[in-house]
Amino acid sequence: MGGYIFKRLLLAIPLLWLILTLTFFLVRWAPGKPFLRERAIPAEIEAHLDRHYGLDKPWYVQYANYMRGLARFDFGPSYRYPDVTVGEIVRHGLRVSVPIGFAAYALALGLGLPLGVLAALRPRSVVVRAMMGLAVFGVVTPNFVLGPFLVLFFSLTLYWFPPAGWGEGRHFVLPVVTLSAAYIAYIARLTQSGLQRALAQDYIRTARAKGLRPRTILLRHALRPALLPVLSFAGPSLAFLVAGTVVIEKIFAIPGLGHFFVQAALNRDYTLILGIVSFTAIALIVLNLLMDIAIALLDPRIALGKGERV
Amino acid sequence: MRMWELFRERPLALVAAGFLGFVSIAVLIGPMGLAYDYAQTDLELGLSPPSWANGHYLGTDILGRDLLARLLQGGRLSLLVALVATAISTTIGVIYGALSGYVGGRVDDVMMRIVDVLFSLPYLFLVLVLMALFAEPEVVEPVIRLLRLRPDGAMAEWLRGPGVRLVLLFIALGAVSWLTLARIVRGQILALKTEPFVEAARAAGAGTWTILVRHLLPNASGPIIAYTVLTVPSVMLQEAFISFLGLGLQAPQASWGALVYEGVQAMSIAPWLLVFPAGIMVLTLVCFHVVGETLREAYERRP
Repeated sequence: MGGYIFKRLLLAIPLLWLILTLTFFLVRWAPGKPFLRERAIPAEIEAHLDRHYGLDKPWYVQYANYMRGLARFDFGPSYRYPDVTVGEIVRHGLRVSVPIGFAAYALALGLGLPLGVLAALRPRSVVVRAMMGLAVFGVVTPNFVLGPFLVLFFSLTLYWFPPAGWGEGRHFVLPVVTLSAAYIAYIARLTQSGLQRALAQDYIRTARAKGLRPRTILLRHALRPALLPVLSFAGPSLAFLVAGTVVIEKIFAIPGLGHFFVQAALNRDYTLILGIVSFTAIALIVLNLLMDIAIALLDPRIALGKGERV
Repeated sequence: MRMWELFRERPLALVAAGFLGFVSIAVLIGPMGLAYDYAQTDLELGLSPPSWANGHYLGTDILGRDLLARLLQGGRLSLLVALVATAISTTIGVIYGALSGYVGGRVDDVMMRIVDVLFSLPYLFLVLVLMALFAEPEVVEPVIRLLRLRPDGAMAEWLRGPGVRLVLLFIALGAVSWLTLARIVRGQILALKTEPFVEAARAAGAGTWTILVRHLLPNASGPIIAYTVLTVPSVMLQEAFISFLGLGLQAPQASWGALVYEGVQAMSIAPWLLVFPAGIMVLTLVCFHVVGETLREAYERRP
């Protein structure tokens, strides 16, 4: 197990370097200059600005500075928001985005898993079939369509929740539901198919013949292998979740990390773009690493290199 | 022949395929039959609800542009991006997966590990960065020179206008959507390459390329087609996502995602601007899904 974790770590480090370097050059090669706007600024001032931000140095010096800054979690100043560093903006955005993401993730697991188990155990029940039918719809309906329709119905017709904004608990509900809907559906379907496959195995029949209680069979024997596909989905789903918050924050006017990212992209705020993408990449790689280790703990075959990844 | 029987057994899939055919034909020839152009504004008729009387069957937006005409034009763009990007990603995925599966061993390990890793990257962020920063004249002019296009020709003009964003979408979405297909193809090739007919082909003197293209890939065509069909809605969704954020095509060009965003902004006063674009987009996505899943089930059940 220790060797496996070490190998994953060894893989994560060059990956991190690759993605950070790629982002750096993507932003650097982009045409146009940070301080170019509709109204031209005098050449002396532009040169001065460039010097102040280190943009007059050759690319390898800028690259080294950027990497050195990252190591200290210093992303530099924003080009568009005066008096604020990128690090501060990222931290500010995270305080908003992370609770939404966590709540959506918790809701997806808390509803998706039981629903999937129920669907596997009672495949004929009308309620379950109706829910799973709804789940098909949930998987394909984009969140930027679902969100506005929820607003149209719950905010503008029933007046239950505010249509947008941030700060109070009421503002939390619609964004989290919008963000998690697709995951509830997806996790329910993964759990259902995984559990059905597990319940059809011979060792479950043996357990039944041995006279174990159905609850024990389900919890101790069937659920563990059934959850592997769900866990494997957890890694990629994080990346989608991050992309999802960008849209959610746009729909509900929430001042989170995604909101700042879109603003930065539209404003060509180079350091902010670079900072947010770098931070997201680091966070995702670390979380994925943890996820991989969790999967390996659940299924020892993977650490031995024999497990077929689902 | 088998395809037809497959769809006859599943009325739902047949309906879905029929709907997709209808949408394709509608967006192709529909705009010609309309009284209004998608970019034509009429400020006096701004935000008029759907009506038969004034000929705006699905209503108008805030500038008085006909929603039906914009929907059809938007459908052209959405489908065009989805199909071209899917074609690119299918090409990459098939080549990558086939090589990985056929060569096997160490190379296969490394290539598949790379796919695992790419799966968990925030690549949509990178696509957004690309769209935001690179749709500029400074990028277009060198490309025009590189391709030796006439600087005042139609192609160059198109690239300077809406073309650059379309091409960027093709490339960016095509470059990030091939991962699942690569895995599938690799699995198929891995299973097929030990079959006797491959050995027979090799014994007959066929080279690697011939074996791959003539013998292995045709046998894997079922899953390749199924997953290609399933890639179309996911690419379409990603394009809509980008356009929804305002980083896709620019007005008056508007794909379905951009129309949905315009609808969101106006939904409290003009709900039809949200309902129709969102409805047609979700229906199209669902239909692509149903057709793709049907094809996938069909090959998975085959002995």
